[in-house]
Amino acid sequence: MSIKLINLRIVSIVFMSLLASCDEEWLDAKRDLRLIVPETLNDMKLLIRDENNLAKDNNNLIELSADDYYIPSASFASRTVIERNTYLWAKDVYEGQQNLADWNQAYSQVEVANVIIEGLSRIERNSSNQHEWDDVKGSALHLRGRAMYYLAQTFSPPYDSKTASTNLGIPIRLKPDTQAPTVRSSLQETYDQILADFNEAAGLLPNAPEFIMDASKPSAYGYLARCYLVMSNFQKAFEFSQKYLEQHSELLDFNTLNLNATFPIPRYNLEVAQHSESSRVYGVFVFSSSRIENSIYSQYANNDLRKVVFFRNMGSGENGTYGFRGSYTGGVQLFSGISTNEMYLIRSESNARMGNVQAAIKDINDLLITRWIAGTYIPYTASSAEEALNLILIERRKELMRRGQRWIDLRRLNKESRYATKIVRVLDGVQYDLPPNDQRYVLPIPDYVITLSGIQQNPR
Amino acid sequence: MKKCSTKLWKIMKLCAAQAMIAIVITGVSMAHDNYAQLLDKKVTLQVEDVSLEQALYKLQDASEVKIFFSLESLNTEGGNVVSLQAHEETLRKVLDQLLTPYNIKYRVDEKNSSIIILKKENSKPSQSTLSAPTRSIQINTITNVTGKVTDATTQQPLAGVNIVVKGTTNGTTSDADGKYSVNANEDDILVFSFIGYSVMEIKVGKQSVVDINLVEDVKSLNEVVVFSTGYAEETPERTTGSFSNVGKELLERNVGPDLVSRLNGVTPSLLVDQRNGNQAFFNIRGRSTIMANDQPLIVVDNFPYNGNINTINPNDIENITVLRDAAAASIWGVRAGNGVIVITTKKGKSGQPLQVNINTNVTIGDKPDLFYEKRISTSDFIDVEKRLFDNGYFDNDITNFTNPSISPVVEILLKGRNGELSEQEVNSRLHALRSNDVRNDLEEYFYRMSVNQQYAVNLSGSTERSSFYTSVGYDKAASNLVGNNQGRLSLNFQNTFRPVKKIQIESRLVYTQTTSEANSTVGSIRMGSRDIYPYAKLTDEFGNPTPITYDYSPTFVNSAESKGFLNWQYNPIEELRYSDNTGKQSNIRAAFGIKYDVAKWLSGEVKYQYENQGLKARILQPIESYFTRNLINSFSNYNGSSVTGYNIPLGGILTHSDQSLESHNGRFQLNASQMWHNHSLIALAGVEVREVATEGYSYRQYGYDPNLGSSSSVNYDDNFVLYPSNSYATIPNTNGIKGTLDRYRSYFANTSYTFKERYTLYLSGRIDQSNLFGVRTNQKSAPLWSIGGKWIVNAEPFFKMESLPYLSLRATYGYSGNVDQNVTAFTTAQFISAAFSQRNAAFLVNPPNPDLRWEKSGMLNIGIDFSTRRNALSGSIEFYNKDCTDLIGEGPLDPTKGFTSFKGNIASIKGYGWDVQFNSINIDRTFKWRTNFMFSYTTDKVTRYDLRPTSIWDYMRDGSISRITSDYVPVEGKPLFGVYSFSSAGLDPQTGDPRGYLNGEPSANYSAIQSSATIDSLVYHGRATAPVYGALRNTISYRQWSLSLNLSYRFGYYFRSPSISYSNLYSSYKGHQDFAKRWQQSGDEVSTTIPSMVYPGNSLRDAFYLSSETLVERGDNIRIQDIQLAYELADLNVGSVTLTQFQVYAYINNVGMLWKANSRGLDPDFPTLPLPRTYAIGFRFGF
Repeated sequence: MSIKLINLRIVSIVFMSLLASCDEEWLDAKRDLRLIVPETLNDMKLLIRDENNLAKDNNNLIELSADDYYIPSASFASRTVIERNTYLWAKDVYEGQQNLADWNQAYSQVEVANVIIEGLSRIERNSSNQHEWDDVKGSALHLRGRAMYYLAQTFSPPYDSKTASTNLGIPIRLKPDTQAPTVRSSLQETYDQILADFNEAAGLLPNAPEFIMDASKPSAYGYLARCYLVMSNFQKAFEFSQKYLEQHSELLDFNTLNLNATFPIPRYNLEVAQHSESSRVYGVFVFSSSRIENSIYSQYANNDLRKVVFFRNMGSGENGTYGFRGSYTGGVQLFSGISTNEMYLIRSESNARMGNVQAAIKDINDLLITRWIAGTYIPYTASSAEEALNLILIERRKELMRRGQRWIDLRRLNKESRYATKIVRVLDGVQYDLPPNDQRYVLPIPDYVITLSGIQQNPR
Repeated sequence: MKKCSTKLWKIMKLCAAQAMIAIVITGVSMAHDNYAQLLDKKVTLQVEDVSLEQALYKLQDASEVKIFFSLESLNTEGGNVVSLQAHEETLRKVLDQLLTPYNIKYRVDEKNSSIIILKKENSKPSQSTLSAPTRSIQINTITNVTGKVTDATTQQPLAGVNIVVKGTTNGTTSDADGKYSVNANEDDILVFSFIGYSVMEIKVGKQSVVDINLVEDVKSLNEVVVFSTGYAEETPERTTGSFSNVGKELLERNVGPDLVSRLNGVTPSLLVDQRNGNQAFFNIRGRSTIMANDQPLIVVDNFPYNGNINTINPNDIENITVLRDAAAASIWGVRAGNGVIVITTKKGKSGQPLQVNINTNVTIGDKPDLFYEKRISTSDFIDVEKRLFDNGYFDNDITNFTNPSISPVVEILLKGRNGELSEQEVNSRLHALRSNDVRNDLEEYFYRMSVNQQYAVNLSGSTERSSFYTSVGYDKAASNLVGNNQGRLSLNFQNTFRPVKKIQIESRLVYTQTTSEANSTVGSIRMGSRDIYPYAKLTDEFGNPTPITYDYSPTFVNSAESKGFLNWQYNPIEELRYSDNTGKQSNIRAAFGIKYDVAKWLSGEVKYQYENQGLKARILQPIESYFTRNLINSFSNYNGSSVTGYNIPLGGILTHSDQSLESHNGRFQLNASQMWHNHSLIALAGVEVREVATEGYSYRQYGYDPNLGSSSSVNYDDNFVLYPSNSYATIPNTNGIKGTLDRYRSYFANTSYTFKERYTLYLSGRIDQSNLFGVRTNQKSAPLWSIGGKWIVNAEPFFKMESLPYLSLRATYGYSGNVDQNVTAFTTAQFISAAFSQRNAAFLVNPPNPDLRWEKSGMLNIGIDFSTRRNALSGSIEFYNKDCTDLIGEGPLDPTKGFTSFKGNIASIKGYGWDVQFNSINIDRTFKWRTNFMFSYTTDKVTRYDLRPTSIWDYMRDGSISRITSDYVPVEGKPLFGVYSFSSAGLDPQTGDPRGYLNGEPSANYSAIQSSATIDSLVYHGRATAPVYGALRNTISYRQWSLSLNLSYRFGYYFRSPSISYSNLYSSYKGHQDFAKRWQQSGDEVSTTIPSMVYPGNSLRDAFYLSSETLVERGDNIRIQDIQLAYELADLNVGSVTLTQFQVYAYINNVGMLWKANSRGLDPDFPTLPLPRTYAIGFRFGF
């Protein structure tokens, strides 16, 4: 046997053993640098920070449906299908439109939360990581609660403790498993889950967020206050707005704002506990495409700075109509996060509902004095709880313009005959009505969701 | 993992170092300049009781000289078992010993360093010479003409040349020294013919000695074929699989600078789809996958090629083999599901003298015809704008605080409304615009004739122990778009080195560098989010470049400078000057292989290839460019009356991106071949590892000063209020990093066994493993196999059809695979930078899929190959049947689950088809006429697709054009790409609304029509891709002239023609010429199908019309693909140099449509812009 043959054999042996020694590890290498299989606590933290998806609230449909704005007849035709149909509370809202954020993105937030919560169940919580662990878990629960809160306001009937266990709520998903079937829960189960998530989150979250879009104890309290208000549980709504305000009570003095700016209210201002915004920017969210009814505008007193800060005169060509520019996002996006002014209003209303007239009026006065030209505000007084409540509800509407709150308030207040309101739209001389407690106060679930999941559609 | 990769690295580095040494050594040895003649090569051969065929194969291996023969030529009566012992004998002697007993002649093809065994029927020397004198008795003045026949190139004597006295049967053949003797008289014409050479005719006259040089005719050698599978070279006689070969001649016919154009229409079953505009898609035998990569595997010199195939210089390509069926492709395993295109580049051959070839040409292309796109006329468009304006459509834009652009017409109308212009003045201003068409200006300033120059020089030769091939190529292209230019430099060094017998070392170093300038700005000419208004003028009346209305209203733009902003105008022609985008793509391929003959029957080889590609792009947007001015302005600090500062520094913006790909391929392979008596066995087995790593970086510098090379830092973290939109944004940060790593490990083996040279059995198997992200180990492997058989019918003793000297049948069955690297088994997430806080973040990409598997594609192939006498008609007919299972499909997932879609192994496709090729030699005299006909038929049908689309509109998209998988809508029982439409009930006579059917009644309730429509209620027209396609090429030649014309055809498919969408016209200014023929009053519905114009636009109505059957057309067409005219001279003496080849050629590509089924004047294969016709002229010579 020649030396070369031996050499060849050596080469081949080396080659073969090389391959053999490259056991499965060699093939386990990660394919894409930017892809991760979320496993570690840090991975979970990365997921909860996806502000592009998670700092958005999917309350577009209910904001489009509400009567905080109107569309000038001339530009109605150029609005999108969804804008036109929600505006007129049409029977077929979607006309086959796909990818509605109010369902899809909300549930993708739920999925992110579930991936994190399940991931954390496999990560040990110990003394060195407990703060971070708690923060991530609290944030995930907070996220899931938020997404479900808006889903419930959009696709389920208004909460009523008498019928909540028989009314249909939304599908509750608590595991990231995509194989599990989709089933609608009862409305009671839906609210129980939302409250459970926020309550647990409040126990885990830090007092102050790292970044203003992160969840914190105050923002969890804020959501709990909102939820209980929607459920007409005023005692609890009071408790949580109180807890919020104990930590976060400072208000923005509108006298300090630059009234010449296009959007006078600064983004991330001191009233904001958690910044989030509506997930879509529909044209009618922007003052150039929608207007504010004069009947609302004229409710603001001349010394009320909000009359300037919130509204923009659309010019002579428009015969003195007004557009809204008072978003806490400091731009055209609509703010939907948790802020201190809203908490004053919740505490005030809860107090009034519970008969604490003085406390209720104090909150309103404390809020409004920051909204008026310095030295011009004359404090409100009220002799009865009902008188207080009436003025609180008017101030609530005036303060929380275009925040996605109006529709939720309409659903809630329509249950009380004294506050039930028929809302109307007028387009090209034709009037469209939405009577109180109409079926159309519940948006239909998108058709493709019905097709793919087989869940029950809302009557309309 | 680390340990392992380090080892691999070491080995690879070692290999690379050896490759370099080999190149150096070969370079030195070349200096000897000692060219051995092929036949003087020393050969050692021992054969005992083997067939002549086997002996020739062994001789081929021993001598490393290609020996070409057809079985027919060896089909000697009385058996042909030979035995031979030769030790260090010359090849000449061995060949003589082997062939003389059977009276078989051969000739040397020096050019290709090969031996060609001549057909026996051409060589019956004894009979002819004997009969000659007897017949010549009848002739009175007989002269005995003698002479010598030699090869014009090599001056080697040619043996076996047929010499016939024209018009008689009187003739002879030349002997081994090329000498002949024939009786003829003065007026006779001698006709010299020899396979592979041009026929020569000489009048005898008074000469008694006629020496003649025969000129090689490369074209007639088309039966000399070698297939490369990338693992081994195979001869047609032994292969069971389906191969299709594109030889050098066919590749050289088309002079395009890129491979894609050269492969178009030259081989059956390969369809080149260029409907997408920029990117050409290959398709071999239809679809085998849905979501995974659908392009064939490209193999260059034995290893998969990762780069852009257009960086390969076609002048360096020796041949291309297309592997079509499972048996041919299964050797490539999971990547072969779409077929394999094996490209073999040129290399030096042993025994070949020094040879130099030069090819150069220039190609000029027409300007593209922008008017091919049928746009609404300017005048109609202005009327539409006027109507929109009157309806208040633009009022929002006019009052909008973000100052969106409003067109000049709207501005004029607004001035009229505000009383600034009289009605008369308004009308006359509008009238002045009506005759403009911006496309005239675009053609003038942004398009030009394309010019493409090609220069290629190659040098090849050999010494006793080595051979080499070196080439340099340079291509320079000025594209149709002003500002876009490209240059490609390619260098190729190949060496084969035999330091000792039994060892053969091959090395190759290929470097290509492509530099490109992409400075055309025509793509960014628009108005805001709309198309450019058609009456735009790009110059003023003096021809000076003039601004157009761009992102913002002119009033806003004109007042910007006084507020302290930079000039905010957009001047299209000026922009062209400030565009500075360059790209440099370099590709290095270094390969090294060593082959060692362990024993007579066994050899081992190790091959290694390193590939490195770099793509560097540099985009400089100087401060003069609109992009930079606009960005600086938007991000400036504006206090409501003036600019107080800039957040983006004044200066240019320089963006770099840098992408690289590095691959290592290693292969160890054992080859065995043994023959005894009636049996022969060839086998190979091996392992292969492969790693492909890509990396990409991009980074940007703001405030760049090209004179100083300096830049400034910016604040990427904070959000700024943008002016005038008032939205919040951070400064665009293009800095990024990405990377992928693909690893494969494969084990493969195949064997073929032949009995009595008639029956061949073929088996192959392969296991592939990869780092398919997240798949459980047991699913990473995919065992794939194939089996094949072949029967050479004409070799049977009972087969006596002399008119059919070659006939064989073959059949194969087997599996290849595919993989979608983008799907994974686990929930995965991708890193991003958080939208607002800019912190590290991640988002979920996909739900988990623990059952992920490789795709599998099974194929049955049955083929028949035949050839009639003298190749008058030859060809092949193949039938195949495909069954692709476990295909990755995507479908909607209930979004409640958190994801809107899901990818998994949910689909199957079945298909079948035919591939037919006929080659005929119709006339073969001084005037020659040959025809090549190719026909392919392919179908596919989705047999399983578990997920269904939720919207009826999904069916209306044609994913076959875009190849965007999210556009695919597989329907069970239908082809993957089908054309569907709503049935049409004509226009409503009252309103001009397009109508469909609702519950069987004509209806214009589009909402109800769409929501009640199902896939079954839609009209299914047929396939969106051509099931029938092919080409017909006729070549005629007369003496030195040859002319060939290639027709290509596609039949049996449908497409949707574009038309007017009013909502689109309003919102994006995209309008179609059909507008002019729209319904306008009752009665029009008789003569038009184009709906009336409505305001406001109803997008559902438009979508219904555009998706209705009215607009679906047949795609069938026949086109003249190209024409080539060549004049070839050989034996041309220039001074002391004899040219072995001298060819001048002219070539016209994309000649035009001959016939089309649709009457709308549309080219279905080029929906947006047809490829401009190109004219080339060039020459080739060699010495």
